[in-house]
Amino acid sequence: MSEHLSESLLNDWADDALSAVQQGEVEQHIATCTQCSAAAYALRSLLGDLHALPATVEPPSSLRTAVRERIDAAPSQPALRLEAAPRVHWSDRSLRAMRLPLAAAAALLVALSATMTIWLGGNDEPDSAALAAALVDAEFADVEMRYRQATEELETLLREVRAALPPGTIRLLDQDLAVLDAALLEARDALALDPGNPTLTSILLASYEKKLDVLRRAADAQTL
Amino acid sequence: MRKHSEARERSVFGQRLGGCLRFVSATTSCLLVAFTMPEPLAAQERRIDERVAANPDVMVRIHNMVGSVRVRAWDRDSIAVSGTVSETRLDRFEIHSAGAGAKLGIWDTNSEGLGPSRLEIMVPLESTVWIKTASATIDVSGVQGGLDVYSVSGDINIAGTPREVYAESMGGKITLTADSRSARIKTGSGAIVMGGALIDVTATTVSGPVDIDGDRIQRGRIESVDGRIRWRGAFTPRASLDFTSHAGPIEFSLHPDASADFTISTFEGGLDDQWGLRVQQGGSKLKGRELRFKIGPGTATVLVRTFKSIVSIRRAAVQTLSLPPSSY
Repeated sequence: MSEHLSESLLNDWADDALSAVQQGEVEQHIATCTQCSAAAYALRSLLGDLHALPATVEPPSSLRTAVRERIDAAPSQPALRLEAAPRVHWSDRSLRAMRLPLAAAAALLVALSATMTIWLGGNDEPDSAALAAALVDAEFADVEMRYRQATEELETLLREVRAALPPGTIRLLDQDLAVLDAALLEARDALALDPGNPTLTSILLASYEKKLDVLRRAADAQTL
Repeated sequence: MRKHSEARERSVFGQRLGGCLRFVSATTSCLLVAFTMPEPLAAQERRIDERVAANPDVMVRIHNMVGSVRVRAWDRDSIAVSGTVSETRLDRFEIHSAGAGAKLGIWDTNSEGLGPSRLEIMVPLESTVWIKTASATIDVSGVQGGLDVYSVSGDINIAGTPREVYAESMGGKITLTADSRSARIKTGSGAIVMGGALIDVTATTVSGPVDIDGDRIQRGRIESVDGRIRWRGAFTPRASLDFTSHAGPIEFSLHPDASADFTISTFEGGLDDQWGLRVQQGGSKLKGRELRFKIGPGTATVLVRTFKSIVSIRRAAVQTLSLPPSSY
């Protein structure tokens, strides 16, 4: 075994994807090499944190009803969309270079959804429509900003690796992004004319989620 | 004259010698190049037939860029792989098993010149199976553990009773004919075709058409940006279904005994009523419209949100989608 373990081998070890013999060799090396040991356990810790995150953060059905009632009661405020956060796939060689930024983006969105679910879920009975509406309004702006940041980060990463994508993937990616960007633009323009429209808010955030998915899928494809 | 003749002979001899030396030199160079050049990257096809032991609930990771992956389950504690693989010097078929985990396929490092590999794989019934491909098609049937399947542009076909399903493709068509507690299906431009007894379903697409045989779906979230969504059949009693589309038409082709309480929130879209509905306009002060109506006693709940889609409600002929038969 070379002086230090390769990144690929460390990732396979963190993913439990090595044969027993290889695993033994890696662990033997880790036991004696501080540098590899730190890298290996940092990777495993990162994956552990990701696996600990819920795959979906769904509010209870009673909460959906409550939120819907709040929206109906305060029509000038936007609806919250409490949906599953984008899921991150890790393959043995996939997204090695992007693991940390993508993990951060995924964790951010999961944490956001979880916070909102807990925050609203702890109060299924609305105290007052006005309070809920004020909180919903503030949260919507925050949620949209975070979606925009996350998509922009992924777009930047993809620009850097675009040349490595197969032409067919680029064509699919561009086609999807064109549809999504047009839909986002249309929904945002409409929302500017009618702030707080819950249908528009919901549709806008759904399109953001899809854009994140498309970008993540393309990033996955880059290292297939 | 003699001097001239000798000189000419020497010159001819020199030319011949030079020619011989050049030939020897060129031949030697060719041989050296031939012996020292690395093996070419051209793909070569090989038949495989391998088997490894595995735990009954093994997690299997399968990777194949081009060609096909066909997975079937059996009641044995082993994984068997057969088929043909296209290999290069860098990209070779691998199979490893450590009891609880196994990985097999071609982990591509340089796809240039890589031909299609066709893998036929048998896995234990309770396996959890993870598959990733570029353009290779994926066909999975009979696996009772979880499935996590991704292809960039290959079609994906899933049948049986997987515990949960997660399937994604950018451009490939995903067909799910299964009974499962959870299914998450996502495409970019690829079509989605879905049917079976599904407790909790999410199907989202950017522009692909979505066809759902919905008689046995309990909870569903179906989303599109501009792809058509078509729901056919009836509704499970107390089903809760949520449809969101920016611009793609949403069609409900319903059995005469369908029963649901509908709410349609639309900004610029409309309702195409071919059922004869009694529609109530919502009292919202917002722009756009909220339309409410019931079909039958209204035992299921259907919520539709659109920006500018047309929502059609019509009676369907009593027939189901042409889905492939379930394998169990």
